Amino acid sequence: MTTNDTERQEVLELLPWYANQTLDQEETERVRRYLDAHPELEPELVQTETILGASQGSASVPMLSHDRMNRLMERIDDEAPPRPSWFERCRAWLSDFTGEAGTPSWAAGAAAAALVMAIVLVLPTPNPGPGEYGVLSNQDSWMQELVLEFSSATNAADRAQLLQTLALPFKQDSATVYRLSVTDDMSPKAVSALLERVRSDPRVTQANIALRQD
Amino acid sequence: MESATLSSHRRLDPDATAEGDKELLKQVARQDKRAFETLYRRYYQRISHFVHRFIRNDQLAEEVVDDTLFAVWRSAGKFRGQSKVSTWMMGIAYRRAMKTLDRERKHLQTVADEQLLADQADSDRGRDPEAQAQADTTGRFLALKLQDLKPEQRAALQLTALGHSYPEIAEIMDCPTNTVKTRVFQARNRLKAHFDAVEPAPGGNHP
Repeated sequence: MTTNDTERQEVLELLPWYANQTLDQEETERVRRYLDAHPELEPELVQTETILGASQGSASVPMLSHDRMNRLMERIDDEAPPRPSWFERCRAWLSDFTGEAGTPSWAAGAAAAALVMAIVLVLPTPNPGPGEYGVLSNQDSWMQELVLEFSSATNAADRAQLLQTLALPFKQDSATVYRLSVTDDMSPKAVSALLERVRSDPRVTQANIALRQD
Repeated sequence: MESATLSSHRRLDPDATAEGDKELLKQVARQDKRAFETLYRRYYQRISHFVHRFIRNDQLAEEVVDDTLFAVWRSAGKFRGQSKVSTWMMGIAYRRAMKTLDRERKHLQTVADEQLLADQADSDRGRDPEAQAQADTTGRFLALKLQDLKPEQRAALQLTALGHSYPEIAEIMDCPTNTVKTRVFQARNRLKAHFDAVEPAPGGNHP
């Protein structure tokens, strides 16, 4: 297809909307210019308008009537109202609680979030059962320790800074080796995360979990 | 049955602004029945006209129109505001009409032809006999041939005739704009072949 053919095809495709005057200004001018340059397309436009007229039809359709609208309103009344979502019920509760109608969404959301946080904080954290730490039969007599070896390039301030952020009790074995007590209530996932964190610290050359009998 | 002929108009109701409609729909989402009644009055005729032309069975068309407006009431809260309210409503009408067509296809074909002929006879009373004869032939012929089009082609053509732009039709029919253009182009070509058989050559008398 040549450029001219493409242009012609595109204009022909736009003719219905040129006829119903819904093209934007750019397209309208484009079609108008093309039609001016190609008057042989005038009958195409006329036929398009005729076809659109026939599509719309001339026969009657029912007019809006009060009876019809009333029947629909009765149908709406008969339908049970949709159950409000959890969020809408929170908002309604908040409105009742504060006595203010039309509580904005952000306030309802903040109240709901605060309520959830309060519940989470108040509820006791379940202790993982002894089985979760698994392998040793006499779990109670062993303590987990995180053994850290710092790089010899670090100074006391560097080491102190990392130890402070880890916030675990520690003993110093040597100038660069420290043993940190991993508390019993830390889950295996938390211990792994801790290990990964210290291993990625450039001040640390080695980090391992060790078990020490108490 | 009360009836009226929808005079040809190429644009949406000028009293309905896009922002005004969105505000109305928000109120409808809050179960405001007065807002719904306003929306109903504003768009009943347009929806009814499209559905009646598309389905060609008055009883089924009425059901589809009622179901569409009922769906507008129930789904008002789901409107995302990315299109005009009118486009969204027409989209609901189109989908419901298509479902009804699929369900009733065989039954509708026979009834549609009979109803078309009856409608044309009703509307043409009182016109100049010669013009009436010409219009009878062309209009009836074209209207009958519209039923031969694929539903999607017919819908696209009818929505164009109702004054929708092609991007709006793409939203209503949930298809790309190029698909809309192709459907209307193909519909026109099919009708043109029949039209040329009935009408005089270009430059002659047109109805």
